Amino acid sequence: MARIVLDGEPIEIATDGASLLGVLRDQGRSVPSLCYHPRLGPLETCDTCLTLVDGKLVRACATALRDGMRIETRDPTVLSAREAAIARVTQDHEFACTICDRNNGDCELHNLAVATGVTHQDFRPKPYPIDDSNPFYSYNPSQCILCGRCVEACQDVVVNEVLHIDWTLNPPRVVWDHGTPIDRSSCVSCGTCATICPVDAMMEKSMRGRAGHFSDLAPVTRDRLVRWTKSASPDLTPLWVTSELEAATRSASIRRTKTVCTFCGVGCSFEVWTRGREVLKVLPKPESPANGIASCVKGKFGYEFVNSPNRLTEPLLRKGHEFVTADWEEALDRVAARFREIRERHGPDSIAVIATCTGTDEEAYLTQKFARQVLGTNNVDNCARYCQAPATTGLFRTVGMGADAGTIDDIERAELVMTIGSNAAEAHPVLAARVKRAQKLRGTKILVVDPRRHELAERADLFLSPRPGTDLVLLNAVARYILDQGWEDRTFIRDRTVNFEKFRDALERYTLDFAVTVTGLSREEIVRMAEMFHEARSACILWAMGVTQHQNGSDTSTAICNLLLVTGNFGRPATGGYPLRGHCNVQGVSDFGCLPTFLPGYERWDDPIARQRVEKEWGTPLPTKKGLTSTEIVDAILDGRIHALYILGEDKLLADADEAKVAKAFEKIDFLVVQDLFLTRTAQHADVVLPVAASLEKEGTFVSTERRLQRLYPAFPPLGHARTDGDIVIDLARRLGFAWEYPGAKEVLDEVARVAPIFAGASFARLEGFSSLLWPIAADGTDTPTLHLDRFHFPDGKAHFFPVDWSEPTATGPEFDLELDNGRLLEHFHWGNLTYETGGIRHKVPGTFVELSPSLAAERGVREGEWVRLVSSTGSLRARAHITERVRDRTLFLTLHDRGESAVNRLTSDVRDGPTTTPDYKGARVRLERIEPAGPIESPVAVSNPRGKPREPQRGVRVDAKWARPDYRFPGS
Amino acid sequence: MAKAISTRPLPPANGSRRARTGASVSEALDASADSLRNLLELIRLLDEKGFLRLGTDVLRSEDRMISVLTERVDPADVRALVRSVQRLGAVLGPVEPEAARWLGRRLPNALQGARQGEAEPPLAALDILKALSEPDVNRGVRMVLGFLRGIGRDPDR
Repeated sequence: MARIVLDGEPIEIATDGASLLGVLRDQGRSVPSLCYHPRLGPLETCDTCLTLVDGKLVRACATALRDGMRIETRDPTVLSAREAAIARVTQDHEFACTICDRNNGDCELHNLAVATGVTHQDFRPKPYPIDDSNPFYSYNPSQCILCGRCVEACQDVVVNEVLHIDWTLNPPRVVWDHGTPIDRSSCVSCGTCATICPVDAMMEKSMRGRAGHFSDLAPVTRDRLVRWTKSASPDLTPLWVTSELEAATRSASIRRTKTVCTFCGVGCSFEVWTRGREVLKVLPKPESPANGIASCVKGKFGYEFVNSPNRLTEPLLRKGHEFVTADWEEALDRVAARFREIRERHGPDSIAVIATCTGTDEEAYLTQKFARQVLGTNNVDNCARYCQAPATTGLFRTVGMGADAGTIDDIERAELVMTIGSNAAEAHPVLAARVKRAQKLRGTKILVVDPRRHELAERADLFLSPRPGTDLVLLNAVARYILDQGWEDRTFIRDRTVNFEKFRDALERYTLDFAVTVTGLSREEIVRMAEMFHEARSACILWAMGVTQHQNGSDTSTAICNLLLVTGNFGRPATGGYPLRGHCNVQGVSDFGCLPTFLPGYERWDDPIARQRVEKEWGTPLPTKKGLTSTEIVDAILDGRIHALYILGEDKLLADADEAKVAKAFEKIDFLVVQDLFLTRTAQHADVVLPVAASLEKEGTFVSTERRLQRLYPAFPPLGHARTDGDIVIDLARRLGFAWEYPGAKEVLDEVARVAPIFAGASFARLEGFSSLLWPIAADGTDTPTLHLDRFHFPDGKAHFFPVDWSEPTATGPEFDLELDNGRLLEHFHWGNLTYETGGIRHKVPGTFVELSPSLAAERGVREGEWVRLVSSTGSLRARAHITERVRDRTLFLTLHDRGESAVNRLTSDVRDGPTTTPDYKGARVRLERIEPAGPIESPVAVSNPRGKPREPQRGVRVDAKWARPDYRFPGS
Repeated sequence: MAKAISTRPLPPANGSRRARTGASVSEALDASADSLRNLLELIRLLDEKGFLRLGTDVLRSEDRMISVLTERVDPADVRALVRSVQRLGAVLGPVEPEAARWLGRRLPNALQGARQGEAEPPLAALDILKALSEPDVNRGVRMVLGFLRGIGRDPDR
């Protein structure tokens, strides 16, 4: 409690220590500010919030409320200082609001000028040209007010560390790296700078010349108009009026719609601005629960696919050796008739369904209901089979619930963050930014285990690179070393776990010597890792495909959980295991029941109570035979058990290991239906192709990696005659004799709430706008940001140690002498079906490549940009070589963003993780053959690509350098 | 045996889509037949009087006109022109930004109403009297009269 005197009146404020700026606004005082943003904190560059405290002018944004303060906001000294500060800011920005693309009612300088009664300005243009080089956004120095928000965001929010203000320049300006043009700099085009800019200095190019009615004037014309207008009368008042009118007319045609990102599983939410079908910009909002103001290049700029001419807009039917267009009636009649025929002839389990992980939760629920109720089979699975099923198994074995233990906030608050088999800075960039920020601002320790020296590895306090496939040995050895040292959390083990003795005994052989031999790491490295866990009061482990896509993916995931349990890092805030989900709704499609062994809400398919609940709701019995996984479905096609396959939004031909085997299955199957945005490699094999709506075109919810349910709303209708996955499934169910009635996605979620206890309190009303809920959600709407706080999800409420042992992975012949790693790049998403449609992304990363180390390149005589052939026991491919120290020795890394001759699954084999049947994608071994160049060669990494360019880290905007300039005067001094 | 087919038919500007589009447009035409006839009459008149040509030329040469205006015209002359515009600004100037927002919020409705009105049958005197009984019209007329009264008032008187 603070007792203060505000403008002569004594009052009491509950929050002692709060920001004075916030307090004053709460008290109804109008305090201007420009550089301050709630997600950035005080930057102290604009001086417009000056306030008199105890007789001294201070910046309210950077002043904490203290008991006994005497505060004056209406004193002439305050008003005159603020006026001076605003006048100085307006020297840096020319008001031409009526012809400005930012004139949408949210230009903070315009609003401040109007609110404070600015009528004149002394504009001083900066002698720097506009930097228009980046394909996604541009920077106009002459409109830049040097508030430093973009710098703070780049340096300390997304921690890409590219931008800074060069305060030594006259006049100062924002620079990239050392004054490099944006497109040639280390900028990763996340767009956060454009999001956070309070004016039009940093702006999305999709807005430039398109948002306003009069904003597409040629620059020279614009300048003349502005000059003459101002020479006629310098009074800005008419400008305020006309620009307010112009902004109002814009609002009639610009629609702002809340959506959730369609790429990775972090769950970034945005407001998307559209005019008709044109996407003007994607705007992260401070209230976006997972990302705040942050975004990555795909989420911010990767939406050109939505209006691509390559999109499917009509159903297609195979007719001989070509596709012909059909209307929906004909196409769906065909599908229904063939499903009915095959089911009658071969039984319900001769049909299988692959659900889409880019559809909504409600569509996922309908898809599994279609499989179970309409077709009568549990043969329904989704792409989690390719990625996180082993992680889920590890979590189910040990803590009883196969999902992230907490939130991204928990990760950010941990003292130690370990990532293993995860290139989060590229695959989950907004989440990785929180880890980088925690390290930079709070000293969080980062421990990275990975074969590749990616960005987080570069930043790590400890980077370990064990021999591929031996992570389990490292984890067990660290657990054993911790026990040997007596560093385990005995209280936690005693009170909250079972099976500890069995676990300890199973670690017998995991000595340091054994681990050194198997992993190739040094004793010191392994000990250091154990020490880091010992020293941290809270630790999180993040993992991804580098763990799960191995023959022992489930066991290694289990070993991760065991290590967390032995150190007491589960069941309290800022701890736990976090498999990072790779698709926007791969979490949701699993949560809502598109798994062969789980009903919605992770109720086992053979649990009689759960079955009864679902059967009562649906009014029909559930199928009684265990379903097949996605990879087993391919086997079953080849051995004649599966005759029809219905694939929603999955490019299975490219996604499964061993492409040739899947192609063979698709050529054998009797009937294949694919619904997708594009004629994908998988759709090319279909008998019927159904065009679907993109996420921007539909309503529903997604679940992010945090277990966070969020709503998305349609920004515009589906393109052409495309329909939503949900509408198509409902229509098919009706044709097959089930009178499904769902007026909208809302009613579907209501039904889910009735059948799945973990979603009991989920509803559209509770998820309105940017509101979100993390499951389990109780019937009263109480959600669960952190799991396991009171009990683990076993009947006894305890966590279960689950001993796991390592065995040497199945080897291929000695002629395959190189390890082949593979994974994502920041800019692309999977096979690039979506991301290659965006011109700017193609400009940054035009194609795929294989990384090899300088030593290997020298040994094999391979030069940068040359084509090489990679040959495995399964197949071969061609790819262009990129020589980099990110990989070492005899490990290669192939980016997986190719649909043709460099597609990675030409090389992978169908060896699988036992419990989950997830393929061993990361265990491929290959030989490398150099292809003699036929002509000139060039690097596959474009000059505009940010990779390999040094970052320029600094803390914040360095306002002290501004204050040290000879031309700086503190207003009022 | 389902071999891959990597090409697809061109998105139909042909066939079924055109038929469906045609049907929906035809329905809309039927529903608005009277309004359309009146609109065509208006267009004929605008054309006869030359307004259509002028408007079309202005729209088509917008960039060129502005370029010429800014490049060729003597700034002193333009200044006079701008001053005229500024006089309008002076009228609007005392308008508080809040008032501008107020007006701005109504403009989209006004424009939509104008578009609808354009398509309606010609008005007879009786129609005007009838329309005055509609509350929205009546309020609008009062506002316009008030506006005219205000703008006509001599500020120096």
